[in-house]
Amino acid sequence: MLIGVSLFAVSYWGWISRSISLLNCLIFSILISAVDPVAVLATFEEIHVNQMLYIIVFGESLLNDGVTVVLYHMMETFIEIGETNIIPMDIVTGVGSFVIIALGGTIIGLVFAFFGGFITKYTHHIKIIEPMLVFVLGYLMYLSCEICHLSGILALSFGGITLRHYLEGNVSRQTQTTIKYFMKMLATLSETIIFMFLGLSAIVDEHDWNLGFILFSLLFCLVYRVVGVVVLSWVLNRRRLMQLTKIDQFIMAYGGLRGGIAFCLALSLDEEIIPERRLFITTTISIVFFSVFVQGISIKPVVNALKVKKSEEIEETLNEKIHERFLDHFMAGIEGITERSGHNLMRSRFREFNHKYLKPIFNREKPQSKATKLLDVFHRISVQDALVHAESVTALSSQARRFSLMQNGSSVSLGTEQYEPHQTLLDPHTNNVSYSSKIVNDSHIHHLLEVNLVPPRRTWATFKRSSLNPESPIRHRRAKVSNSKKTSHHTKKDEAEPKQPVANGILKHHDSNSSDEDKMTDQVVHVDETQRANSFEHSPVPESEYESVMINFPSSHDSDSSENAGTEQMVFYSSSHSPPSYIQETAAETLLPWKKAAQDPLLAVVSVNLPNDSPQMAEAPSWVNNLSYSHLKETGSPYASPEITIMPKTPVSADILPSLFSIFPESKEVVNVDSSVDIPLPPPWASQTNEEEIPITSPPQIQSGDKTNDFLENSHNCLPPSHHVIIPVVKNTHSQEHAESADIKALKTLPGVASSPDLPQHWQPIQKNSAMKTRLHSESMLEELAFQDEVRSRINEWLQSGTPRPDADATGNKTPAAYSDNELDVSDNDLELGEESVSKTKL
Amino acid sequence: MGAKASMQLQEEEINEIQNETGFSPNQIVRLYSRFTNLDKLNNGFLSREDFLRIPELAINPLGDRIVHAFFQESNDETVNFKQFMRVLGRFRPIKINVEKNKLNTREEKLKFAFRMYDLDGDDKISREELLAVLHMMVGANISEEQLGSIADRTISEADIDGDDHICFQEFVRAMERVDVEQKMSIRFLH
Repeated sequence: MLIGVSLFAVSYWGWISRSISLLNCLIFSILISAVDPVAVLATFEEIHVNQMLYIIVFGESLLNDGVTVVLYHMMETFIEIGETNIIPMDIVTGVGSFVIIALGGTIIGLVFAFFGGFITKYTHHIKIIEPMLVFVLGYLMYLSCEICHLSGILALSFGGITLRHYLEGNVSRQTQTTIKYFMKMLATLSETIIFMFLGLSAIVDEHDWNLGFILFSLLFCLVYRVVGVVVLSWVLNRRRLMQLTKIDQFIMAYGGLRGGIAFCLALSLDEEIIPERRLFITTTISIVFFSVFVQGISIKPVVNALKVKKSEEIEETLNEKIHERFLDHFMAGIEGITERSGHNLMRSRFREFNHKYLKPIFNREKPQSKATKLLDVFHRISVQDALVHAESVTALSSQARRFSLMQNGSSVSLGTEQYEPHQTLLDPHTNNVSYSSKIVNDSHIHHLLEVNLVPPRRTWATFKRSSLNPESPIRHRRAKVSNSKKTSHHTKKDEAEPKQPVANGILKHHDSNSSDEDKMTDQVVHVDETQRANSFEHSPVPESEYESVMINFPSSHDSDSSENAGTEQMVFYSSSHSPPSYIQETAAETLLPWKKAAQDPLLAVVSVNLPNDSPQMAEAPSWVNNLSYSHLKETGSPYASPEITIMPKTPVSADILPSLFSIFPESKEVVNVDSSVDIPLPPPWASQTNEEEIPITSPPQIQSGDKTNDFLENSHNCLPPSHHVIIPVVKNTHSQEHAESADIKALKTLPGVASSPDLPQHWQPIQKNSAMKTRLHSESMLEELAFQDEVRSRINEWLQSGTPRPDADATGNKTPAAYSDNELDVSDNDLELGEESVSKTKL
Repeated sequence: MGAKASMQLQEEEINEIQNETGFSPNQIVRLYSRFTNLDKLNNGFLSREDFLRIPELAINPLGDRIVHAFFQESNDETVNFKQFMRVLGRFRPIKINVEKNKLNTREEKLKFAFRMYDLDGDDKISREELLAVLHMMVGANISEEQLGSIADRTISEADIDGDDHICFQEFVRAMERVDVEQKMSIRFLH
């Protein structure tokens, strides 16, 4: 306005050769004072000023658009009416219309945004619609506003903000990525076109060059911007907590770059109405050039020179997040006390309202815990640490590295250091166990083998995402897989489920935070380079970050002594990134086939659903089905540690199992039961005289060092791979019957280790189908073996009681060992484990 | 008003409070009226129930702690106006050059926040204390283990001397980057 007035004054005074009417000047001033958000955005991103400043200028430019366009149209109509015909009423209505236009635009934007949020609530099955919806909605907002002569730009701005807020809870990560990148592309494209056009017309059009006019307008632009900023800042500072300093104000003034808006508006001037159109266009072009080039280029050194507070790379620590949130609440409370409706109070009120009412309407899932951001940060940090640790671990020999980490407590980098306690959090006991020197020494060879075996496994991890069509099937598959994965680990089950809803929210927030994504991407890239070249060719970067995390872990941990720890952590992370994180699950699945639910019929379904990528998308490597490999341990190593044969099984299993379970208190009963099972059993286990023969016929018992025989096992004898489920169930029930009947009969003949109250417990392990179902293959294998031996001994006892023998009755407290020694033939025959060969060998 | 007259703010009191906290007389008077509003029983002091009657505090997850913070100041079951003001004095915005108030430094603000965590007053935030606060803030959807690991993680991040507690210095360091001056300030209108 001021510019216009002064320009008019100038012309009136004849300093320039032409006279321009006031209104025309005004309209020119309007369009020239419009700060361009595009230019501002570009520049300020470059210079990284602190957020507040950025927001101020950017916000100004956004809203500026609305104002400018409104005023522009107003002016145009005024001009049409003719200068002489303007009455004060017009001006008033003009102002009034400005308000209406602005508000109306905003409201329309919001309405469409709500609409969009609502629709996306139900587009779960047609994910492809979501990006389209967003784009269409945007355009719709603009068009509908323009139809009513409302401010389309304001509609877009506010509508966009709102839409995003509700959209993020509803759309998948893919959609979010799509939308984001596509929008960026579109935006860049549009900007480029505008400026190109600007440049072209600068050259092509014929110009009306009036140097005086140009110079004056330039001068006035600068001057009045400064004035405007200063005045307004002064007004604001009276109410602001954080004052706008002189430097801030300067940057704001200086950063007012004109650009596309001014140019377009100038172009749209109608020649008849405004005769000076050419002049204006020329001037506009020159001013735009000046501001963009001169101001834009120089702003960076100016910013540096003035030492404007820059935005720092915010690596948010968990502490900060927690405390910040804490303080927010706290301040809201204080404000409540003092009855000052401050920012905090309003913010928390709005948050409450939003959370309670709006979100359920528009968001698909139930709004999760209010601390999703907290968890978000937590996960991000954990994941980062995991990456760092994985890097460091696989860089050196894994064994030594882990030792140095655990034993020294010192670490090479902060990352590992931070990771270590975190690691400790997850697996305190497994760590203790794993690093007991005895086991370590014994399993050194394990790890060598495992390290060598790791690479082949990696290749399956590269699954193609080229099959985009079965997008949904993939999702479902992974969801099923992930579900099965969760159930497979029952100790994690309780943990997994509560995490599931949380993680949904988390995941969405994950993606909404682009800066973190970028950071993760960097880390991911680095990790990728250092470790796997071939793993992640397919997916867009943000997704691979999760993948790499997942994959790094198992590989690094598999090569370590604590397989359980590794898999534990695997499960932890993957279960914390629940179903929406499809990629992680899959990667995890492919790497750790045994982790899937041992007895999950879903898997059969799942594999059917697999699209053409079966070899790589397969749940398990092909060799799992090859029963000759069933003797391989979970880590793929055929090496059965001699320790297990020598020592009673108890230390190993008892150490590992209870420690795992003690982390998860729900399963304490299982722990007790386990120990009660294991402890009385060693005698039969260790002292079987027919040990050499048994391995041949019975399920792969790790005790036997006789590996070759394992290959000769027939399908009945081999322990079915954990995902061929049904048989053990049947077996169990059958033997349970035996067990129970034996229980009744042989109650008194049982070893005195278990007193009667314990007896039910003693028998319980055999009945723990569900528990077995959900455990790690290794554990279940050991369990299975223990169980089978247990069963055998029970059967023996039962038979004994059924066929009374002097020994049995007399020594009511015979240990199962004695029984099993003598009765092995009989028991083997009776067992429905299909041990025909047993009888053959025995008889 | 007879009963109340004795509780009216005296000139000296206002001055005293002004010196101590840095509020302007206007603000003090305004806050006094708020104080008396809260003081339903006209006792001249506030009890816990008075505080909890404030609706915003009732829905605030940290409401209890906030109230407790006021009472920590007074070592008593009641809060009189001076103590009330002293607590609030910490939340005045810090003007860059006007640093003369000892109640209002960044350190004081942080100390106040620290004391909100540290219930038993041993000058350290233990894992349990942190967990309690997390519990209050976080709601029901997070499992115990996760909360526990978050708490552990937080402590390990901040804990420099490795004692598994966050002492005040560590707290200050952890909050280095947080703009405490702005966050913990309320605009008291002149």
